[in-house]
Amino acid sequence: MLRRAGYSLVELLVAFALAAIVLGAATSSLLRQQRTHARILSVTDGDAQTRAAMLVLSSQLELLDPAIGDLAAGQADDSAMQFRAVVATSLACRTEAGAATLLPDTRDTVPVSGVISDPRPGDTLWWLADTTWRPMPIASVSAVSVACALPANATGSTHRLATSSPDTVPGAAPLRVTRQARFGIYRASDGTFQLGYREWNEPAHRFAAPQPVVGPLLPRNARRPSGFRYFDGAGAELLPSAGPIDVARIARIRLTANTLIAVRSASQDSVRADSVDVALRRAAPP
Amino acid sequence: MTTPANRRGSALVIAVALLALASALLAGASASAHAANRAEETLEALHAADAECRVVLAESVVGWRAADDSLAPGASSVRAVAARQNGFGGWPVRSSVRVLRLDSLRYVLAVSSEVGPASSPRARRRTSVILARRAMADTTLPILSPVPVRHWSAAELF
Repeated sequence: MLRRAGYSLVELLVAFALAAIVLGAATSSLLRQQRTHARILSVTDGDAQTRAAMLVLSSQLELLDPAIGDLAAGQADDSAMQFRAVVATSLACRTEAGAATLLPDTRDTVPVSGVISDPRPGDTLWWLADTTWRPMPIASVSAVSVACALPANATGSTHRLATSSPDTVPGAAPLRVTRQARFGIYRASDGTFQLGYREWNEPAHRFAAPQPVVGPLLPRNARRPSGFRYFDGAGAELLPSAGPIDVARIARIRLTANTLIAVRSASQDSVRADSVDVALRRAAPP
Repeated sequence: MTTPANRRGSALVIAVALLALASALLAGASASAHAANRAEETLEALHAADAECRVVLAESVVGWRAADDSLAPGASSVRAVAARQNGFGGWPVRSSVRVLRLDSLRYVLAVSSEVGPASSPRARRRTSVILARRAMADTTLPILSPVPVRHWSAAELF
């Protein structure tokens, strides 16, 4: 019988050693690639999250008109600001005294209204009378099913807002609902600094716990602090050092966020700086 | 005692195991890259939809169509904007514009834009503004296009 020669122990060891070297190199390369990929992903995700949050934030702030009290007096400083946030826009379904019913949107066409957060007691309803927005404090909110003829044929469930004002809201009037809200930098339970959003809670008569919007940020005592800066119509910065900022003079708000993106080890952490300037809709003269 | 047949069997098992390990590593890397690519595409689609929505809104305000002046209060018109390539994966961005007349002087202009296949859009953005026309006592003057009123959110309708 023909006997085939087998591999010697030395041959096997050499083969295993070579295989181990090749596999080791391949695995190391893959792991390094994974780490780099994870880092790039963290940084781009952090960038994207910050940019998206800044855009949302600026779209909220650009609607503000300090001249009519959209910015709360004495509540604007370098770490926080209180303002009227728009939570819903719609049209009045019909003419009503002391109340307004929001136009329900139909699914088969382009909607004309939007609700970011369901209206609730304590919010303010505004309706457009000619060129002036008139406020009506919301006393109660109920879910109703309606059929509207004007401003558009629409049937469906919506909100009816009963107010404590005797004003009559005409059908088809543009409506918006605002709520007191705060953007502010706070220290979260995990010790990180975050830019948070807080909404007024009427039953509790205080602001709700902050929801993180951008973060984690560099600590407040860092060389590059995050926060708010305010400028008047002439471009001069309004500084809080000389007492509370006169919010009626604010024409532009600058928000700077220095986001700390932690990647595995502190030596690889990345700081991403983003800044947005928001020119307010109708600023008071300087 | 180890026979040649046994040795061949061990080599095969080792080779299969090594191949399996390499396959697992490659599959992991591929899945991770695929997920990252998908996330990046979605983000890009969102930006494309947002940009297109704002562009169409601006174009509609500036290029006010006289045909919409003949709408009766409460009536609305919907038109599709020709799909445009917006740099995202070769997919078209489709937009629709709705004009709703509220009364003799005011309109709502709403725009909806979406990116990706019509059956499963990757991103959608919607926005609206209220347009108002100034009342003019002199009817011999040319009719001006309506302009946006301030304080109505031109941001996302969600």
